[in-house]
Amino acid sequence: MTSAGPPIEKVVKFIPHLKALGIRHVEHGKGYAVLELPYADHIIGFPQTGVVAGGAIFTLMDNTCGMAVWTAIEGFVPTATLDLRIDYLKPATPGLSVFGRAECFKVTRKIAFVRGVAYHDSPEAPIAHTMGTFMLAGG
Amino acid sequence: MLFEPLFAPILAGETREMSLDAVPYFVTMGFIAQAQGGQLTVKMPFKQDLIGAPVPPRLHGGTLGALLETAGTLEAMLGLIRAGRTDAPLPKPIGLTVDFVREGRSHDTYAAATVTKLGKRIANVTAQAWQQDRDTLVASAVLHLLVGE
Repeated sequence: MTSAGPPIEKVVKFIPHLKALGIRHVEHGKGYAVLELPYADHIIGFPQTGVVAGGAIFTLMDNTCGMAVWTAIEGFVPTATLDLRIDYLKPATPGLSVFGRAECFKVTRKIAFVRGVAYHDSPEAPIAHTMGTFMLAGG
Repeated sequence: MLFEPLFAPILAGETREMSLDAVPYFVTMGFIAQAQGGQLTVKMPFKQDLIGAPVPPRLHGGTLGALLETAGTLEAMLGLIRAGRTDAPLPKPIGLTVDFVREGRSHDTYAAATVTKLGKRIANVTAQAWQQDRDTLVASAVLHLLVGE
């Protein structure tokens, strides 16, 4: 466990929608964050197969990206998502946790650029790919 | 097709609300389908569970993306039914780009979608989300769905 920058593991516990979906902190470091969406019945989007809803993965990635921005700027500047794109590369496997890993690869005074992947075992075998821009307040 | 009972009232031009409880995630999110004048709107009633930033309370951006994706997917299904393609597989989202326009406040949120093109394999869809005023968007999205083999 690395813990550079803001105490993201504490913040995650205070976000009601993350609690509702069961999303938890895994690790973070300078410029990146990893969160986990454990498999559960209440996040199933495809009842015939038990596959997790795309919306839950979108939420996982949005939040992971936002937290990657905090680790990059090493502080809790309020951020607002400008846009977020997600590509669903393959269905998630029922029964397995989905991990989200995001990396903030560029920060300007007002904008942060982030990319990330959702995966089960390895970021090299992604379920989804995401790309987003975030606005920094007070920039 | 999943949700078949949902679409009959829309196609008949009825005005009513319908649960989406065939999908556990939709129950978690509180999504409700509304039929009116042949149109489909998905409602996300405000609740604490949807909050992403506690002070002041703001909806989690992910809830808006999920709502837009749901409205877009259901609209694609409606398009397939209107086109007589009831044997088509469930539309599967390929990708989604969400444009966040303003903060989601502690109000009910609505989303509606338009199928720009319903192809043999791909549906191009746009979706909009708003709260108190239909013309004041909180977010919009472009999405692509697989609608055939």
